[in-house]
Amino acid sequence: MERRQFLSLLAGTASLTLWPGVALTKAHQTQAPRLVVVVLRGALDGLSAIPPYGDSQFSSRRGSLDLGPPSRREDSPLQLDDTFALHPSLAFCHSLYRDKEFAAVHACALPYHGRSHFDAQDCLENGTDSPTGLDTGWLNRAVAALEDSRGLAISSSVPLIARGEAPFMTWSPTPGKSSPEELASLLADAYQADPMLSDAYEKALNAQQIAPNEGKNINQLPVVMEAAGRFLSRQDGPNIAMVQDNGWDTHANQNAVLKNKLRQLDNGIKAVKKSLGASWKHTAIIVTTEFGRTVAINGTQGTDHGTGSAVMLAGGAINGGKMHGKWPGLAALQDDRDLLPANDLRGVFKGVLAQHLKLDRKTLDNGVFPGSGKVAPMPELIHS
Amino acid sequence: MSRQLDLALIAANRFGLGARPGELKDIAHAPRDWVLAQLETPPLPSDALAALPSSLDYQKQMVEWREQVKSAGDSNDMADQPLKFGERFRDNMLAEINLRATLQCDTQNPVAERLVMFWSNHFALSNEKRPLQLMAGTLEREVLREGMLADFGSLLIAAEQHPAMLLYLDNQQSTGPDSPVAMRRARQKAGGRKNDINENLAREILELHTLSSDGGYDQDDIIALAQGITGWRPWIAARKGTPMGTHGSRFAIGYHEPGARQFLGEHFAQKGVAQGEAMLARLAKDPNTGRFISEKLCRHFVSDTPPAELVHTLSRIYQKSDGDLKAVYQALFKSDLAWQTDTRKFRRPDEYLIAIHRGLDTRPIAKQTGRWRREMHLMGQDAFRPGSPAGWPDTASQWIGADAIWKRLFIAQRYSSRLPRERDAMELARDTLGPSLGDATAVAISEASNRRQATALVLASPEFQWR
Repeated sequence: MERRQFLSLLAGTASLTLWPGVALTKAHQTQAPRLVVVVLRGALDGLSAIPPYGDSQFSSRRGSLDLGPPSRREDSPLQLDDTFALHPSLAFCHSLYRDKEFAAVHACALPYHGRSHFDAQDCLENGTDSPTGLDTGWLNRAVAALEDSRGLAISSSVPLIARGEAPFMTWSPTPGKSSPEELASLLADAYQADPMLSDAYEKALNAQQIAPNEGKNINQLPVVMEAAGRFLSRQDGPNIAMVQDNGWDTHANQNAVLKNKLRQLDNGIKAVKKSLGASWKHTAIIVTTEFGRTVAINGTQGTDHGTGSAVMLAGGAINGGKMHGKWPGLAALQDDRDLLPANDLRGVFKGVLAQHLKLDRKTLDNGVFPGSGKVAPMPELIHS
Repeated sequence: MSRQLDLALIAANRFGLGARPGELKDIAHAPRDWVLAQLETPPLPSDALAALPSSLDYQKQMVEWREQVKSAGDSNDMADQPLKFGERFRDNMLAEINLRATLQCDTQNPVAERLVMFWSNHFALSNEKRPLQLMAGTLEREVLREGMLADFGSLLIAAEQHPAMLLYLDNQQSTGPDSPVAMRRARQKAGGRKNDINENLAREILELHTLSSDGGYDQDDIIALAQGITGWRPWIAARKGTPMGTHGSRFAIGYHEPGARQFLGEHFAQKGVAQGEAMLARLAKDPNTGRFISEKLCRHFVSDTPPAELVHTLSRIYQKSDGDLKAVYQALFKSDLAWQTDTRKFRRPDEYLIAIHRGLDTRPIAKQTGRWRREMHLMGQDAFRPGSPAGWPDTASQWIGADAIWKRLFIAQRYSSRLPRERDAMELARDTLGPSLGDATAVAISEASNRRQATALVLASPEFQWR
């Protein structure tokens, strides 16, 4: 790129390309499928996000964590069906459910059944049954297996799930009001002359055009999900994005913490729908976490590390308005304490990758989730 | 003189931690001697680091805190609740980060200090687990700073016996299935506790600390080593054991798997702690270990794709000297292959931040206690959290990315006000980049609209991202 072009880029007058030199193909037209994976780190309590209020054991097992059945009260859970409701903070997701653009799978778990956050997160990201199974991520391997597919990690360094051979660009919000844009423009010639840095430099400039400094609440989900939607809505941009959020490890005062965190998630999904624009129709969002939490409340009004948790699915491509997968009930518990793992988390991911991105079974079983041949892709997650 | 300046730049930036004002000219008189001299004056713990609690102190404080939490659990009065772990130990965690950073910015022995950082990344700890949040910095302070000039065998044993390493790789969870403790539990039919070895530490010793993944060992060797080091415990998990090493770890024979075993085709009949130590000594002597260490050193100090001839030379010295690390470093810095002007290394975020401070002749501001941690996080390298025992990656492709570049521009802008009044930006450029300053950057600096912008241009330039 010429310096002149850099400068007009900075002035916002040039056409942007995030991957210069790559021809725009079918994969990047507006109607091509988009995927967003949201990783909630710390272990989301699925029984709070999607309370099975209709399960006869639920109320007695949950104590003060039970927000009651759906009712006309403003802060009561929002009904999904005869068994399940949504946390009252997930009002936008509830409206999507009515529009058949939101679904969930309860009682999901990884083959890893330990209780270490970081070992479980490694498994969630590397797609194997061991934290040291692979040092690349399943999302990267999915991108690699697709033609003309490109990834984005909303992160300053590439997280494990996005590590590997396939191209993944990084972007994350920069704090403060003083953007280094002018500084960047003055170094255009210098960076262009450095063969190792010119590409990253150019992508950084382009990314700023798409998602400039916001300056406040920079790490909150609504901000980063809105930005992810902006990148994905572009025809020359990435078609697969990864977003992450911390702070879901609710050992204490869970009701208060989740009220706030789930509202942020709800606003995040609202924000990404808006910034995706016409691409929303072709988007699948997977909201997932490393494991669930204990069914019973602990001594500090929270819950401890458990097993089964819920996955939320949103987007125009989702076969929504229903719950998918099996529900094990709360009569029997894993180790007498946790929600039983009725659905293999990899089956949910494989279902979305198969039906939405058209990855074949062999690739999913051997390449994306090696050794998962016995885990079938969950059917009918994407509407046909 | 220009050749000497090239060499001085390599000495100060690639081997050291970033040139300080006027330093290149001084080093240029005898670059090699400047580097080699630093191996004779080891970077002993500075007074500031010595003031930090020891790993044993930290373990005792954690026990005390745990007991407070336990007794408060019986009380419903909120006023009785002790601080949360993160609040209770916040000042300690920040002090570990900030004092280390200050030392790195200030040191007169930057080559030796880089060697310390190299070994810290070789024996990498990561602070996700609670005890490591406090103790991740202690291995470097207590063992590596001095040990990195000894022989590798001694360094290896000291590192693996250190409580932070034992806790990080779960050796306190390892119990020999035929150990006295396991037998007693079986008699009492005590359920719940696992009476088996935990292979974590043994696996990483073989793969990451010594032989490396293609170093010719198998699963049986992992098990043998794991059994050999059963009973190696941090004080917090075996207070009554026999003292082991010099940092409060214990050998608890009750957890040790008795018996002789085969390891790497050899017979190990030693009893007690001596068996594991003999196995580690055997690993330190292995040519695969020498080759692995040599290759990592060359990758770190010379190039992402290190010259095979140099790796071979270092491996030979390692073998001949029984793993004398000082002899290996001397061979490295004496070889012309290490002083190549046509290779370069991309600065990691911490190296970038340190080089900025050294170039500006400034140090982290003591009262901004969270700043270093925040800026490292912003650039994608959380302090003391490489995320895995493999440590931080050491090749450019792992660090270069769109967001990484943008964040560095942001950081450069932030530090642009810290240039002392008596210096100008072109001087800063010559002092820190020397002959590597390119035409495009020089033009940009000369055309800058003010002094602050010119300073930012130096720190944000592509040249400044490399060493």
